[in-house]
Order: sequence, then C-alpha cells, then structure tokens
Amino acid sequence: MASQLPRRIIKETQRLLADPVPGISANPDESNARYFHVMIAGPDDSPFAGGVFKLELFLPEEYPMAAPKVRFMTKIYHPNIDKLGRICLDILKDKWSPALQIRTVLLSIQALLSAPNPEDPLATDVAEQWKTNEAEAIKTAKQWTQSYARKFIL
Amino acid sequence: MMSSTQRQGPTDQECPICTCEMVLPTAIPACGHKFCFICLKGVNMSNLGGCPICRGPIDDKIFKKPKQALDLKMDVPEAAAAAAALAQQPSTSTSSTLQQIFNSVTQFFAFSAAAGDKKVKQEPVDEDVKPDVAALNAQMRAQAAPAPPPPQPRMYWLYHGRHQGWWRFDPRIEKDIEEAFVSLMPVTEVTICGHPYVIDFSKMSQFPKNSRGSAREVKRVNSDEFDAMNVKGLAGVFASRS
Repeated sequence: MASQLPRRIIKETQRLLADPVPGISANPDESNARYFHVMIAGPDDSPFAGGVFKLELFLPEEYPMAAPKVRFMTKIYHPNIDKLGRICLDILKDKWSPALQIRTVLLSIQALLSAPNPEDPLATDVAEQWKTNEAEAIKTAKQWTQSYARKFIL
Repeated sequence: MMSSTQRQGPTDQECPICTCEMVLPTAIPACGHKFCFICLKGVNMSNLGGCPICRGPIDDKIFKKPKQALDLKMDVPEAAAAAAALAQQPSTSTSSTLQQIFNSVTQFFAFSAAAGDKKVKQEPVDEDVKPDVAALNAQMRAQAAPAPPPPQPRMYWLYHGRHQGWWRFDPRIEKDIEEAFVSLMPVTEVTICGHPYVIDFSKMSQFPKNSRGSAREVKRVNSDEFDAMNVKGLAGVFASRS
C-alpha cells in the first residue's frame, strides 16, 4: 500500500536538516521516514556535559494529533529517564499539542538534561538519590556520562 | 531544490498544524488563534485539550454547519510557488517523497553543478576566455524555462456527504489523490482531520484505514461536471451562495 508521507513531516525534516538545532542532530532512517536517529549533546551546565546521547524518535500514524515516541538509547543517570530510556516529560504525554514539533520536543529534552526534576520522577531510585544527596547523584551522573555517552566522540 | 518559501520558514499564513499555507482559515473564537478548518477540526476530534497554541477553550459551535464565503474551485495556496520551483527543477520525480527528503539538501547543490556541466558541454567555450556570466545565467534561465504544459483538463475530487450531496476534498488532499490516480496506483492513503484514510480507486470509495466499516463514495469530475453538480461545500465547510 502506498503510504504518502504527510507534508508536515516532509517540511519538518527539511527544516531540521537545513537548520539544525545547536547540540542536536536528527536524521530520518533510510527505510522509514517516520523513524529518526537522534543525538543530543549533554548541555555544558549539566552533569551530562561532554557526553553525546543517542535517542530514537518515532512519528506515529496519528502524528501530529499524537505525540512522537521518544526514547534514550544511551544509558543515562537522570531522575526523569528510566532504565529502558523512557522519558517522563508532560509534552510527550497529556500535555502534547499538535503545534509542537520534532524540534521543540528535542529542545525540551535537552532542557530536561539541564534541569532534572526529582519531584516528578520516573526512575524512583535515581530521584531519591537526587533528593537526599544531590552531590553524590551528580557525581554518578558524570561517571555514567563518561562510561556510556562517549562512544560517539572521536 | 528548495523553494524560497521553504527557506523562509514559518509565515503568518502558515497553519501551525499542517505547516502549510492555510486552507479555509478558521479562528478559535475565544483566543483568535488561526488554523486550517480541517486541521482545527482534527484537533477537536482528537480531544487534545483546547487551542494548540494557548490551550484555551475551543467552542464546538464553529464545527456545526460551518459556512464561509469561499471559492469552491480554489487551488492549493502554494500552487504558484510550487509550479515555479518545479520549472527550475530539471527532472525530479514527484512520486518518491521519501527519496525527495533524503535528497532535498544535496539536490540543491547537485542541480547547480549539473546545470553548470550541461552548459559547458553544450556550448564549448575557449577555456582561456572567461564566459560572460550574465549571458550564461540568462541562457541557463532560458533552459530552465517551463516546457509548455500538456493541455490537461482540471479535475476535481468529490466525496459523498453523510446525508446527501457531494462535497469537494480539501484542495491539497485532492491534489494528492489526483497524483496517485494519474500514476495508476490502485489505492492511496490520505490524512484527513489527522486520521489516515484509504482511497480505493477500483471501487471509487474512501474508508478509514483502521476500520473498514464506514466507506463513502468518491468521484472524479471535470470542471463542467463540477458546475452541474451543485457541490455543497469544501472539506466540511458549506459554500455560502449569493
């Protein structure tokens, strides 16, 4: 069956490639234009600085009436990201709006790396550590960044 | 090759949902934010919690018997720009959108290079003599000038209303259907109000992709047939007749 790619997805992809977000790359898969390979550089002001995190982003058939599905592929120590890479971010769930785009979603995830929110946790053990001993949590996050998020850096 | 509108990014007339120039612009009464009629209808049907921009309330009344003074035979808003861009594009297939994406950036450069090559091959110039750039450019423009379009009658796509009578598809969806039809595809998929639908050309019917239940009839007509059919409206908006 011929499945036509909506104009919006074509346009968003063109704009992402022509005018990328600093610190973020998003490239459509060669065999599936709804599947994006994403890399986000850890923000300088965060324990993830110096790391590059791989994510996958998928645009479901209902997009943009439904949110993209995004997941971290690189292991990360963050109170709002669990072991499976799932992200606790309201705009990916009940606060999704079709006026948001791939670009704005990825910017929000980048911002989440700068501002972990242990009050709304997904990884409860990480959030607990973040609340009780922030210095230790940040140290672990830095170690994990060094161990798992340096693969793509030459 | 990217058209100038694509490079400029969002404009005032761009719908935040489909990212195209608005068709049947419709404002939410409470906040005034504007979208294409069917995009906004899709938002409302999907229960996405109000205005996509400010999350303010959407009054359902705007979807009940909506009426606008509209040109029932309107074209796709960016048709003129697209035609101009196409004229500059030597031989890009419009069928493979997927490929187009991957090529979109490189194409621009590839085209510039190819156009340059062609020029050199066709008109051998003494390499020591600098060619007249203005003349070259003029010739390149002339080569890229649109070939006279083959005389094809303008066709319209209609769908049968829930109750009775015929409605015209949104011109952008109509264009996709027509392109699939003329390339002899047996079926095609379109997104209407955010939901995928299948158009089956062998049965001339349309049904929601995820539930085959409620099919409706579709029809392809020429301009004269269109005028004779008393089409009720466009994409769910009644045409107010004077």
